Parts: sequence; C-alpha cells; structure tokens
Amino acid sequence: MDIKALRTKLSGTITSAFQTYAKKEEKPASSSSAFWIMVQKEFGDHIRSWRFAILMGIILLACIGSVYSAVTALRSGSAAEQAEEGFRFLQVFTLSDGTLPSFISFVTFLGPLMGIALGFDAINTERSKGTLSRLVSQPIYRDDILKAKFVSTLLVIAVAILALGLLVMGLSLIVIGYPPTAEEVWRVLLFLLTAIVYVGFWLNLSILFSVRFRQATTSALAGISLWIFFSVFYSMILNLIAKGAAPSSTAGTEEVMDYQRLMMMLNRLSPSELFNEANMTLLMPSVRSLGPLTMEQVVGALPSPLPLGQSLLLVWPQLTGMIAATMICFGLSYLLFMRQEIRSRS
Amino acid sequence: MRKACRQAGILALIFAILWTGGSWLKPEAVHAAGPLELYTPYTAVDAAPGESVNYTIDVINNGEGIVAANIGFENAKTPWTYELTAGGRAVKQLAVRPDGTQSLSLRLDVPLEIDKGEYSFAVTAGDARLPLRVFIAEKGTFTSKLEMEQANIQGHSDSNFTFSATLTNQTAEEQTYALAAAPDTGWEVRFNSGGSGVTSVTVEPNASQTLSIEVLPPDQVAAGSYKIPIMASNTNTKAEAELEAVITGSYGIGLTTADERLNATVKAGGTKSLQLTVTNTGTAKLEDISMNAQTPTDWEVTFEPKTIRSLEPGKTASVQAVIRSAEDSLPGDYALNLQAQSAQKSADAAIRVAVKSSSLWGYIGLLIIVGVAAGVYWLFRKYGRR
Repeated sequence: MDIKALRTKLSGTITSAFQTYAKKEEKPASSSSAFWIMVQKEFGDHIRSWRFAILMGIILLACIGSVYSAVTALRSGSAAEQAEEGFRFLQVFTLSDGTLPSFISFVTFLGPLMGIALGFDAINTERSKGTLSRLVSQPIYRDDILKAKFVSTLLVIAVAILALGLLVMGLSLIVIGYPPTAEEVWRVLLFLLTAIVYVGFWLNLSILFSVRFRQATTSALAGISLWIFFSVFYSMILNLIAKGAAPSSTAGTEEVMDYQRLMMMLNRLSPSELFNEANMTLLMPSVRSLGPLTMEQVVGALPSPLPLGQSLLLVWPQLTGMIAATMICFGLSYLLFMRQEIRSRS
Repeated sequence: MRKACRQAGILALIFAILWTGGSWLKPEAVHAAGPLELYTPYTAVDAAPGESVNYTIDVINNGEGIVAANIGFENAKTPWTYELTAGGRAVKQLAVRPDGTQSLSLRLDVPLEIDKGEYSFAVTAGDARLPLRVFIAEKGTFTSKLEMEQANIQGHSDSNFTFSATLTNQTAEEQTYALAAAPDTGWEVRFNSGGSGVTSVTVEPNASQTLSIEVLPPDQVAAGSYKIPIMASNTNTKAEAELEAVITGSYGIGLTTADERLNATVKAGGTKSLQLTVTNTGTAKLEDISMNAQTPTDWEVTFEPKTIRSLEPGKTASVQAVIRSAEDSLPGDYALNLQAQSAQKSADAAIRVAVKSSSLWGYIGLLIIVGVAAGVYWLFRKYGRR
C-alpha cells in the first residue's frame, strides 16, 4: 500500500483521533472509518494494478469463448436432449459444444488463480518493503490492516465475478433473444455468490501463505502448487486410490455403496469438487441428488426440476464447507498475523 | 235343250255346292280338326319345387295353306313363370307352312313355395290346344328362419351382450343374406360368424349357419329393457328376429381428493394426510370398495377406512389417506397412484408428491458456520485492538 497517499487521506481522521485519544485516553473510536479508508485504498490499488488487468483479460477472454461455445451448442440443438426444459437460459453457463470448456469449468479453473494472484503478497510484500511497520505505527488497529486487505480484495473479486456473470447473461440475452425467468436469475445470482465464496477461499488461503511465508514468491508458489494439486493431481491420486479400494465384481450392494461413499468423501475434500457440485445443483435444476442413488429411491420419481429452495438445501453442505473453510483460513491468518512481531525491515 | 238344262243344272249345282259348301265347310275347318296341331311327347311330368321343366312342342300344319296362329299359355291357378321361345326368341305368333312343322320351346319354372299335387297348363296355337300336366311330388317351401337360442339377456350397462342365432336356409337354392339390425341410437350391434365380423352370410340350401350377435349398449344407458330387431334378408327371402337386452344399471366409481388438488408436499420421512372422496358415479350399488396405492419403494400409504362396505349410486364416501415417504427419498417430485377398487370398477387418482428434504442438515450447516464465526470473533477479541 502506498503509505504516503494513505497518510494524507488519513490525516483528517488521525488528528481527530488524537484529539479523542487525548480526551478519553483510548484508542480511536473512529477506527471503522479508518478501516473503510484502508479498504478503499486497497480497492483502488487493486483496480489500478497491472496484475488485475491481466487477470481480468484472461478471464474475460475465457468467458466470451465459453459463451460462444454454449451458444453454438444451444443452436445446434444438443440442448433439446437434456432434461433442462424450461431452464434454457441456465445452459449458457453449463453447456459446451466441445471446442471450449463451459463457463462454470472456466470459473472453477481460473477462479483460484484470481484469488491466489490477488492475495499472495498481501502481507509479506508490505513487510519486505518495510511499509508494514510504518503502517502499524499509524494510529490504526493492527487487525484492521488484515481485515482491510481481505475485505477490499474480496470486494474486487465480487465486483469482477458479478460483472462477468452479468456480462455473460447480457451476451446470451442478445444471442438467444429471450429473457430468463425470475428463478433463473436467482439461480445465476446464487451461482455467482458461490463463485465469490469459492474464490474467497483461495484468497484467504493465499493471505494465510502471505502471512506465514516471508517471501512473496514462496507464498505464491505455495498457493499455485496447491491449486495445481487440487485441479490436476488430486483426481489422479483419487484414481489410484479408487483402483486399490475397488470392491471385487462379486461384492454386495453394501460394499459397493460404501466404496462409492468413500470415494465421494475423498473427492469432496477438494474445494473445486465442492464448488462443482454446488454449481451443478444450482444451474441444473433437474439434479436431485449428489450421492449414489439406489434403485429404490428412483422408483416413482418424476424427472422434474427441483424448486430453488430444495436445490439450495441440497448444496447447503457444500456451501457450508466452503464458507467454513474460508473462515478458518482467515482465522488462522489472523492468529498468525496478530502474534507476529513486526519490526521495521524485518 | 236338255244339254243346256244339264249344263245349267251342273252349273247350278256347282254354284249351290260352292255356295253352300263355302258356307258350311269353313266353320268346320276352324272348329273341328283345323289345319294346326300341337305335339309334344311328354305331356305329364314330375317336377321338384324350384325346378324348370322344358318342353319341345311341334306345331304341325295339316292344312293346305300357310297358317299363322297366336301362341298362348293357359295358366290355371298359380303364377308360375313360363317362357315360350322359338329360334332363340320369345314368340307371340307362329306361322307354319302347309304340311310343315315348327318347333316351339316352353320353359316352365316350378315355384319354390308350392304344395304337393297336380298342376295343369295348356299351350294354345290358334285353336289348337295342348294340355300339359306337372306333378309336384313334394311340398316346396321358400323360407328362411332366424332362430335365437336365448333372445333375452340381462346385464350391466358396460357388459357385452352376446346372443347366439341360427340362420336356416329352407329354400332350394343357396342364399346370401344381408344382416341388419335396427337398434336404438347409440347401441352397437355386431354380427360374427366363425370368429370374424360379417355383414352378410351365404347358406347352402337346407343348411344352417350359426351367428353370434354382439350388442354393446351406449355408455350412459338407463336401466330398462331394450328390443333390437334383427333381419337377414335378400331379394328373395328374409328372416327376422328380435333380441332383448335388459340393462340392470351401470357401474361407475370416481376417486379424487376432497379439494380436487392432485399434488401434495411431504418432508422426506414425514407424513402427509390427504382427504379422499370416493363417488359412485354409476346407477348400481357398489360393494366392497377397497383402497390401495402404488407407491415408490419404501413409501407407505394407509387408508382409513381401508374398505368401504357399500356405496349407493350417487353417494360419496370420504377416506383418509396418510402418505409416509421413505426416509431416503430424494427431494423433488414422485408419482403416487391411489386406487379405489370394487369388483366391477376401479378408479385411479395419480398424485404428484413433492418431497422436501429435511432442513435439519441446513440448520447444522448454519451452526457450523456460526461456530466458526464465533471462533474468528473470539480471535478478534483476544488478539485484536492491541
């Protein structure tokens, strides 16, 4: 953070804060205004940074490509084969004609990159530049620094993702030519919120790394390797486990079910899998279950879309997992940050 | 003078002979022998009803000039049909050369319906008359019979009435009968012979054919007895009969929910009670209506009462159905079929049940989030503001 700019902005607040301090011998009561000023500053820094522009460029290109792909698929009529009758609009996000991945797979893949890229140097760069100690020496709370970092970056991410989502909606409106229903809009908005939570998790993870590792490169590498691990290697490792743990062909139903449940549980350790399941359910209303199905459950079931509330209830565990993981990461980085010694040029 | 007298006398005699002879000779030639005679070898023959008797008649002219005579046929009692032909044509008048003979053909058709006995006819040609006799050895009948095995059948409005009829051809010829019925509007009558639907049948002489006649009453038929005339006919003969179908009443049952809504919402593993209405829509009493349900696996539907003893026409009975969904049913829609069944009729009500998953896990998830948030807040309190 540019400390000079901050200082000029803060000057008004600080003088008033000092007055209050002198009067009541307390820390400044207007810390919330100081916090929001920091948030604004961070936000502005992000928006103006080259890093953000490059990231947005990549993601924007990917999104336009996926919309093109979805629209081609819709036009070629493969949509008719799917049971998503009446939810044609949502298919813009999920459908692909095979040449380019769909919108949701782009978000699943590139979202973490965005989170990591925006958060990996949150603390350690300040530290290595020596601005952190100077910032702390200002009459602001130390935890506000971390919170402001997190909130501002999350805001940037939220703005970016909402903008992208609405852009895709708008583009598909132009191309498809008929409007979405209220439920479809809600489903898309909820999907975008889920995406924000998902990217927020990766952001928090990278902030945690930036607190833990002194070198920005180390924390970036840690974040990226975890991202690559989950998006590439994790499924390979799962395949290996699956081969080893697979029940014999003569195994009973219970064994097969247990095996399936185990594999699903292992799979759900990956945040991208959680995000995927949440997407599927929100954007494909006909998804009624995420686990293995027994024949007994399917007897008499009508292939109809779920109401939004039920879809939400179905993915609630996934959402809970993501939100909790995000908060735990933040809590850890908070703990680490608060207990760290901050010296100038440390 | 004597010679002259003799000459005159001879002349007068000749005149007299010519005069008188001309006057008494002419009527004798017409009345007595005449120049024409008719001849056929078989003047009395036996014949069966429906047969044709053919005669070849010679017309002989014994006179010295050509004689033309009108040909006639005397038919005493019965309207037998005949045909007189010569040279391939029907003739009215015949001319015969002196000392010549002309052939004439007579075809006489014996009617089918005729009594036993002797029948006389005569062929005339001018004054000549040739009596002919035909002996009918057996009595001929020209009738067809349509007999019902059981002409009166009782049944419900939705049952099929199947009558069995025998069509007998008692004529001497093969007959093809067109079958027709004249039912009231809405009734349907089908004729079957040998397993397939027919509209006409052919019966050999003196043989019979069994017909099965299916009668379908209209849907909304009132109780009562209905007469249906049926007929087998062709241009020669016809046979008629009358069927009677006695309708005792119709069976009808209806099943719906009390508020006519065919959807319900149930929590997974929860119960939902539906008020059902069973209606007797027919005109006959229904007995022992049992309630049952086709459910998804592990679902349960209990009815209270399970059976309805009897239900008068037009009356309704209410049944309480409690649907219990399976613990592991998926959220979303399931199809559930409820049925009210009596021995005669059954009615279905297909109910769409939307399963809502339990929100218990939703609250647990919320609790986890709140717990984590509390942990973070505790961190804020412990480490913040210093």
